[in-house]
Amino acid sequence: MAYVDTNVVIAKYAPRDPLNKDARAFFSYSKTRKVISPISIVELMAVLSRLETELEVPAELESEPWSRRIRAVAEFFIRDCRVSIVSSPITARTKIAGTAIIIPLEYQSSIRQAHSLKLKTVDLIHLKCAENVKKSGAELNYFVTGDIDILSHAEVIKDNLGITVTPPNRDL
Amino acid sequence: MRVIPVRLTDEEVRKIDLLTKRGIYRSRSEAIRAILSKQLEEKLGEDEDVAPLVNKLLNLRKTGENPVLLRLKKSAVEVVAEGRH
Repeated sequence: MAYVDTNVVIAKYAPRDPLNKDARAFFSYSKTRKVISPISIVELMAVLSRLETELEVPAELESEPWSRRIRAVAEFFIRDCRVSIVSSPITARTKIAGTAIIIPLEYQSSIRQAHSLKLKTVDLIHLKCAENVKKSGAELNYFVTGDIDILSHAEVIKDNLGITVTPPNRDL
Repeated sequence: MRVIPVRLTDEEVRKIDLLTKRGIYRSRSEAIRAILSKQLEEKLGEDEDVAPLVNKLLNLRKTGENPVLLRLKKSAVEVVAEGRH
């Protein structure tokens, strides 16, 4: 199983993107089950919302309000890429600055491991979502991304989370 | 229109009165109706049914064409990373 980073999904629909060919091959030929998380949906919507002049859709969709247009495109991406959305309902009780709060499990483990992974906030949360899936018993082995910054942390991520970070690859 | 009794806190009533005093709404009733209407639209909009639109795109996809294209000025990695800074 592979957790797919948002940039790989976006690249599949951007013909001039350096990652486009590999992203298309990955989604077309890789046999591994592909998953994303709720934060991926938020990110897809946020990214699409900023691409008003760069998003080309059929004329029938052009007349739709922007909110419905990008929602439809995000859902189309998910269906077309055949990615499953995995969501962990587990929360954790933690005490921060003297206040006991209940937070999603991936936030708690992100807080605990931020110092060793040294990643950007959203990168860290994506990886922790992937780790949660793995910890729930699923055989999640890969985190697929085109982000050089995350790829450059592959070794420390493998050591800490047991997940292989890799660019999109048709042989996964 | 129907009349529905709703309990509001003093603070909520104070804020609604402030909106009417500022002339944003003509009455408490109009204020509550407008705020409620907006919230309902947003809440229902969260799960708005775009399935017919998605199906249209998927049907176009089956014909071999890509119905959605992103003419990005930057790379996908950069576009996504911008939102992560």
